Amino acid sequence: MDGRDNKLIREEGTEIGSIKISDEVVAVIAGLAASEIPGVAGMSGTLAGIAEKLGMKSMAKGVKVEVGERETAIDLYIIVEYGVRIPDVASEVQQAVKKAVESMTGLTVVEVNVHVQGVHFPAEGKEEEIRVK
Amino acid sequence: MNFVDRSILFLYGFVTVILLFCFMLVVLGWHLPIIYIKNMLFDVQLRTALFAFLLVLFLLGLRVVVLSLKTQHKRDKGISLEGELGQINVTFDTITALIKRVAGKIPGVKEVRPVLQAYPEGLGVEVVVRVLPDLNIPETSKRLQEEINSYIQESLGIKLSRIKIKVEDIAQELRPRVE
Repeated sequence: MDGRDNKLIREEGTEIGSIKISDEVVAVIAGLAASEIPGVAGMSGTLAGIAEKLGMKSMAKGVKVEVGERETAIDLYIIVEYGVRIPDVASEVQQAVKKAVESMTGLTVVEVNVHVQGVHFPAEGKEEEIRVK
Repeated sequence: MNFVDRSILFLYGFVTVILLFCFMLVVLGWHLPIIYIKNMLFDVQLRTALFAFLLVLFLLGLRVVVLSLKTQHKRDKGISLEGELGQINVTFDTITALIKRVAGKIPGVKEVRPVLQAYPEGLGVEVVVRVLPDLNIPETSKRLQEEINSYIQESLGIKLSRIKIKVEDIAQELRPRVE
């Protein structure tokens, strides 16, 4: 996420207290849902990626959320596996993220924009490693 | 990185190298710069000039730090497909990587450099390649066009408007060192 503080995005008053959900939570849910889709090799990092390099693992890597009181819009930056059909994978990601965020937070997801930032070629490293047998 | 940023990086690196070199000489016993700096500190005008120089250097340094952090998420060029729940953007880098991979798999094709271009009729590509000698170049070029066209259509669902193949040179075939 890009320099996001733990901004309060949803506060619901109940009889015994209030429920607060931060935008970080929405980003983590979206990130996890997206990375579980077959064909997604990983999330493409931003400042969260730098935090990861410094040893702080971020589950919200490659996710940017914009939230209102009842609605949210999500931008996902992903890397796909080589050989997949990109529009299909992106569409699956959109559906999975919408479903996960809506069911877990109660917010309405109005938009899930998927940005494909790169392709992952699985065998690349191995090919170079072994030169002769 | 654009021209301005490259110039900033060069300037910052160049000035830093000179300053470090002077500092090393000071450490080795060359005291003239220290005397100059001491004199500067007593003169208000020179002190202001020195401060301005250091401020510029500091700002250039800050810009270099920001540049180094800004690696990903540049809203780089790409194509946009309309999805059911929002946009699906695919960067040119992604498409270029796919084309490189597909073209590189064709026997005899070496060093593939795809350059994507927007034409009035849609996205097109010029693929600059080197091929091995004793290869039928028109046939290989045709195969390249067909393979790239079908793979991009299959994986992205779009049709490239033009696929230009430019055979730049003949590559040298390296003989294997082992059987």
